[in-house]
Amino acid sequence: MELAMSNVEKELVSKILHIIKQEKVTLEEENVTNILTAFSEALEKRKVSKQFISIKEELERIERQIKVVKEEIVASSPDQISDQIVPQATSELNAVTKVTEKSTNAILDYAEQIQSLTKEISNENVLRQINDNIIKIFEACDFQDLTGQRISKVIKMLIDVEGRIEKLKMYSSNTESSGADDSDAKLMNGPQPEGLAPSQAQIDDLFQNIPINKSSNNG
Amino acid sequence: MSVNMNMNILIVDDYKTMLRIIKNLLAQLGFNNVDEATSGAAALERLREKHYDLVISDWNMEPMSGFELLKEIRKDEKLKKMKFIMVTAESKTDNVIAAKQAGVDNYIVKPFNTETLKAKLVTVLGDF
Repeated sequence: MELAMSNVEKELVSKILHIIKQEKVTLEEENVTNILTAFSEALEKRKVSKQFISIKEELERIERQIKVVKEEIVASSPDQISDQIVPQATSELNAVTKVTEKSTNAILDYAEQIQSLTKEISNENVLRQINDNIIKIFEACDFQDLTGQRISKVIKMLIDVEGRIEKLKMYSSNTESSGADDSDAKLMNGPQPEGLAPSQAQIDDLFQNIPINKSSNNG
Repeated sequence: MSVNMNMNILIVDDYKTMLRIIKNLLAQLGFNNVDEATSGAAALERLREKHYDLVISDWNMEPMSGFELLKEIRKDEKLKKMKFIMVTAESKTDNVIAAKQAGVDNYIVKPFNTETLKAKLVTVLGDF
């Protein structure tokens, strides 16, 4: 005959659930082992229900999984990733931004010098063509801004990865505290991937059709 | 209504090369009274010290973004009627909607050319 869970068993399960739900308590190997020891002691003393046995088996499974995850984390050298690899990658990317900024400024310097020399040109047609090309040089130099923004995005992703590795190292199973909801920050995504960004004409279309809130302070 | 080509324009971007490019393009179009700010906070300070007719700002700046700068300007009794053009790589629908509802006068996505800049200036300021 199958036994229903006794009051003692129910109390024990309730205590376990309380521990698991408690804030800041991680389901570490030691906690699970201690719980399992309590179960084993209970089993030695009396007959127990099937539910009680299946909870024990589930906890044993969790204990084994924690051991495996622990070994995998150690094998991935998290310290090397967070202390060496990520900082090095961030530094290299920052260097790329600096170099492109320096080169872009050099290009703009020379373009401005050419511009100042055009005063010496009397041929209107040639003057117009040179000025048009100088404008195109200036327009093309915006690559530095866009590459810089993409690089910043990558750096932020790396920092996020580093943070997650730190958390893995600490074994935290709690959800992160999200802090204040900042919907403005969700609007800062930088340039879209190639092929996904809309054209100016599409943006203009969208812009024309957006109604203005009555509460906006548009002057 | 004719456009005052001597108007004061403030351009805001945390990338100095971008400020240089926009300033040069504005000069090509005939606008030579152009000041620069490299952050939203610096821009606000400038706006409170001197009269400007137009702000052209990037979005993606920290700690104060161009979007936050726009909202601050629209909250300020003395600044709220300032013309404001966003020039940004942020091209998602949510961004355009949020900016328009916050009171932006026009929206340019990067990369852009002089023709686009001129077209938006004409829309916001009038023919020149």
